Amino acid sequence: MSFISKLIAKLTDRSIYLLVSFLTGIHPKRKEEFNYPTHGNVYYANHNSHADFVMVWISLPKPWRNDARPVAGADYWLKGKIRRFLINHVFKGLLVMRNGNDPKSITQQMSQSITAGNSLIIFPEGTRNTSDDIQLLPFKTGIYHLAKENPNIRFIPIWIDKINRVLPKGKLIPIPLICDVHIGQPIQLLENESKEEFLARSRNTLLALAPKRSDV
Amino acid sequence: MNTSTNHIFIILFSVLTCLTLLRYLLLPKIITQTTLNTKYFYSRLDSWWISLLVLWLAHSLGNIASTIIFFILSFIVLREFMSLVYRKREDHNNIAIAFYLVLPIQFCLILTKQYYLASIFIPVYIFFLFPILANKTHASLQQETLSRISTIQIGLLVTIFGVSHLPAILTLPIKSFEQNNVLIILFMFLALQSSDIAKYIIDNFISNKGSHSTTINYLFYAISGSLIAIILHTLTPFSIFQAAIIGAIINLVGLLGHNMLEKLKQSYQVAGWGRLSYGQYGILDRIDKLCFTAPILFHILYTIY
Repeated sequence: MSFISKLIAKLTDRSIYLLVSFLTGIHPKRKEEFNYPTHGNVYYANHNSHADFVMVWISLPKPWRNDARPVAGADYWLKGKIRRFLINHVFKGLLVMRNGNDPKSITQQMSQSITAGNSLIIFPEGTRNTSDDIQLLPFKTGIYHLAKENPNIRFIPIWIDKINRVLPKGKLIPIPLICDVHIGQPIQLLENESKEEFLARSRNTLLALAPKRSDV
Repeated sequence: MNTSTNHIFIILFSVLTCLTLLRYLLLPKIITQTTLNTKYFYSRLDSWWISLLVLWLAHSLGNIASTIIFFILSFIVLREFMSLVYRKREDHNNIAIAFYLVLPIQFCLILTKQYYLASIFIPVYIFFLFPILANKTHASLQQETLSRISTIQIGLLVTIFGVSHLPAILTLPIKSFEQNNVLIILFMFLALQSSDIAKYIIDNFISNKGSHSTTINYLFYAISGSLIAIILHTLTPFSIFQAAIIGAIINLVGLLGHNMLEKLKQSYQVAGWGRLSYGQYGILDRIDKLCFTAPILFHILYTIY
């Protein structure tokens, strides 16, 4: 990568950080709260808007952020020069083919990335949760297959709060609200845990991070 | 005359510096002997530094820059308020209007010195705009919608209307007052803070009663406000007698408004408006009394002078 494109990538990185940080009030967590190494982690979060990944990414302290790669759909991100530049050089994403023909290869890709020393950011709901009533959609099975292939990786639940109110479905103008990111303790796949059990446990761990709020 | 304003700022900054030295050098030595609650003192000290710096910047940079500074402050506290209050998506349009239309328009009015329009815009026009926009909702939901709207309107009045009157005081041309208007804001700020400190000292060191009845609270604040105002009346265009009354009014209004916001916070079961790094207190917790007293002080100045 040439020096110029490295520079542009760094500037874009900084500007997105500052913009989202200002709009949503999110800043990196303190390093003391992270009692695990920077590699071998899979951060999983709830998915409400297009800005979710950026908020997870901002809330990680710098060493953890440098090693974290978002898992992104190649069909969307490879269209167009700007998207390719963003996903490859700014966000350093792991591109997977999402058309459903070979889900095993996606798991393989992710496992390879983990063995190579990276961490991943995934959204197990699979798609944006745009409904007002359901807090967390049921998880897709990919997270279980990933855990089965690599029993040692830590799954870290991250709950992004209030972002669904910044720009609800059907509204055009975002409201600059103070959002919050809650990061929980890591969980791992237990021996002899079935697919349903692991999916339910990981989903409940994430749901437990959501603040209880009385909707007046 | 600017020299006396600068003198006052120098005095205040020196006091703050002495207190900060006290905090870092002296207190750690004697702290083990007493059971002082130092967090209260430290966080107050930090907020005083920031307030004094903001006021000094506003004073030295001129009218436009100071209006922009308070515009940013208004945005921050509006955001803190709405982050807590915004629950149902039906309110989305109203809150978007608040951020993108009401906030800039109010500050433009203050900048162009349209004081009359700035006093009416939010309390009259925007007050009716939101219920009118709610005409689209079904009649059975109307009462619930209106109650949510009223909470939002309280937020607009406190954060936008209230804060916008701080630069209004700064830019108001007052005949027969040759000094800088920032001294009036300092007067208000000191009057409010001194009563808080006096109450804290009395609560923790002198009396053992716990929380007093509300009437005694209000009486205490009014009297201490008068006393401080009498001492500080040279900062303002008021005579001693006027300053005493106005000091009492400032403290009473500030306390009433602060209690109202406390009740609102309690109904949402939170302790503070924001998520700053220490404690849970946001900026709105610090300046809520100023937001209530600024318009009143402005109108007093406007009508008398």
